[in-house]
Amino acid sequence: MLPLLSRSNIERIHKTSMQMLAEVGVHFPNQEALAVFREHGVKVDGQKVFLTEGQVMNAIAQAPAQFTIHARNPERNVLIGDGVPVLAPGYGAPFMVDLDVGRRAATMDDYHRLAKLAHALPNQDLSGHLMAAPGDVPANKAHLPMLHASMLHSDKPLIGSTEGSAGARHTMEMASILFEEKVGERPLTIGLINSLSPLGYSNEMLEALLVYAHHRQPVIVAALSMAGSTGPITLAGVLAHQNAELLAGITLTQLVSPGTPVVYGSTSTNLDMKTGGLAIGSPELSMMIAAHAELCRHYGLPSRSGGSLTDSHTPDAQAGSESMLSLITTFNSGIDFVLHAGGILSSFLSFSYEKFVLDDEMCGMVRHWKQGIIVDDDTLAYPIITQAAPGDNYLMEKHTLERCRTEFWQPAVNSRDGIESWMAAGRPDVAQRARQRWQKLVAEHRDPPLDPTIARQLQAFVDEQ
Amino acid sequence: MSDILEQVSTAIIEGDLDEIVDLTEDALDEDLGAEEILNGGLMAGMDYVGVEFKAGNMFVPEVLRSARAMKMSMEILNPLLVESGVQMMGKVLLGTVKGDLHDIGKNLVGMMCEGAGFTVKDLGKDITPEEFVEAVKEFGPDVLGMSALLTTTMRTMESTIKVLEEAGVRDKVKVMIGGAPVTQAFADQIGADGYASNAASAAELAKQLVSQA
Repeated sequence: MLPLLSRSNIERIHKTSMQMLAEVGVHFPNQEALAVFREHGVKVDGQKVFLTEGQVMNAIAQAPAQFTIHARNPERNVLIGDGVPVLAPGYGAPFMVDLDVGRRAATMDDYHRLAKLAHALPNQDLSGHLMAAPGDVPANKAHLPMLHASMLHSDKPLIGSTEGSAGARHTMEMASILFEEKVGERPLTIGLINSLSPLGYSNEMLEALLVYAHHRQPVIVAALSMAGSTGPITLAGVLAHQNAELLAGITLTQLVSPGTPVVYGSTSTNLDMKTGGLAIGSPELSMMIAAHAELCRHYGLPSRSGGSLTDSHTPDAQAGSESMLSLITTFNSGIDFVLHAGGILSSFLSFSYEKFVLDDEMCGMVRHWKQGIIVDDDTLAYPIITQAAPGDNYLMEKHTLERCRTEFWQPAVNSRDGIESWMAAGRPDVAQRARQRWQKLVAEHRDPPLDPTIARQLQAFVDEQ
Repeated sequence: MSDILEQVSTAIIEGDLDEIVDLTEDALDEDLGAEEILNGGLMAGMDYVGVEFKAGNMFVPEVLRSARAMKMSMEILNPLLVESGVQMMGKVLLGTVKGDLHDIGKNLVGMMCEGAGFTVKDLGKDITPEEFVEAVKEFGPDVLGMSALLTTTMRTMESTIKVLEEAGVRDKVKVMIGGAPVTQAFADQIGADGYASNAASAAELAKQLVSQA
């Protein structure tokens, strides 16, 4: 794929960001963060931090280009930073959308089902966090049952909580119980730190960032700037300001604890100018994904962006086309970490079981497509072609028979049945098939084995808080 | 409609910030009353803007510029309207609740309410229940609008309403709430008087709430 940004354009964005860092500054409303900057000779004025290019580049040079997040089942460890996308479920939706009633509040029962699905779906590489915010538990404690659910229902790598210092500390303590080790030796989780565009952070996020950095646990430092409102309407300006604020946040992680793994993230996109709503099904989002990947490579930092993203409120054709555009761009751009690979509807505001299943299917399609075509003696199949006469077919060839179950990608939900059987079945659409699939996966789910002592300790920890 | 009122109305629709002040003064010079200019010029323009916005023919920044033009004209007309005892639309107090720093939507609500003829006081973001109470006492709003973007902070709307009750000022204002995770059901649950899903409907809601008062 052709690069979206030329070398000289990347240089211009970088220079503009450095100028913003030196002249405009970045807002860090947290005393500990400000003290860390001051100790390292960074200019601080009130809550504003002014970094020089040298300070930023020295800091980010210490962040590893690659790292592994360890799962309790080592076969499920994931390597972040080799340009092969690692996929994780959607994050942060305040609502569920279901096929019967549309939008509704999510519950902890939903969350358990989502955690089970995240484990069962073959293309989700991490178990997810805050997929949909459960409305039936107090918001300031919701991270506890959510973390607990993912730890019980899945042995995939964990995404931690960044709900302030409490969320972050609880994540460290629960990870320590789960892995039976002191957190700090190796990455056991990853947390999502969002900036507050333009050019700032919230105290809650900085508290969490500091806890993760002190424990040497990876964080994604990410922006969701909206071109036209929290950023300038022109995408180049968004790239420049988010680059400044994110590099400042990444610098903080390295000043606190040099070598802490950190991912440079963005899901910045445009604001819809007619409605004032966020637009994540837009081509602008995909331009930003591609540009972001190029900036990450420029800085030698692992990247996070993209996902299966849409503004539609139901798993329909709009959801499919928009999600595919962003997902395929994500893969093509070589993004390392993909949050929101499954489940998101309504511009991040809703999570849907059916969309989760359909997105996972799409992830499988794109992963298979990315494998490309292997060209060797066996695949060129010259002897097979010479054996058959022109006009003959290969259906009965041993070469075909041996490979008929493995050579092609097989859909689990998308239908290739003939039109007769579709008519006979009452013309079901893909969302109905997706519903059948998630209900089956949830019903068949079995928690992966967990040492009963660890299970008891986790339960006790959650109960105590 | 007189020529000058039509020009005022057009300046509102086009968001002509360079001309609106002069046109308002020209209208006054032509011996038109403040109320006549308000109804025949400003409101006529904003009504058109509202319809076109709903139809998707005007974009958010254009609507905001119209609201800004309206505000500039109102700054001239307001003292005259007060003087002549004209019943004003009312006062709206706004703020993003404690712990939440997201204020774009709330700012849009403020501008749309100004566009609808309200006097708006915006407390900003990360506002404690006590700060809301103080402001209600000082400013005496007809409508209090609270905003939150986070599921973790939207609950603070409930505690803010409780603190308003404890301070004995809850029945002095209508409370409307909004923000991405907020719903009508949540508004009902926490005892708010109304919920709006976007800035234009928030201004409509404020009008309804005031007319109920």
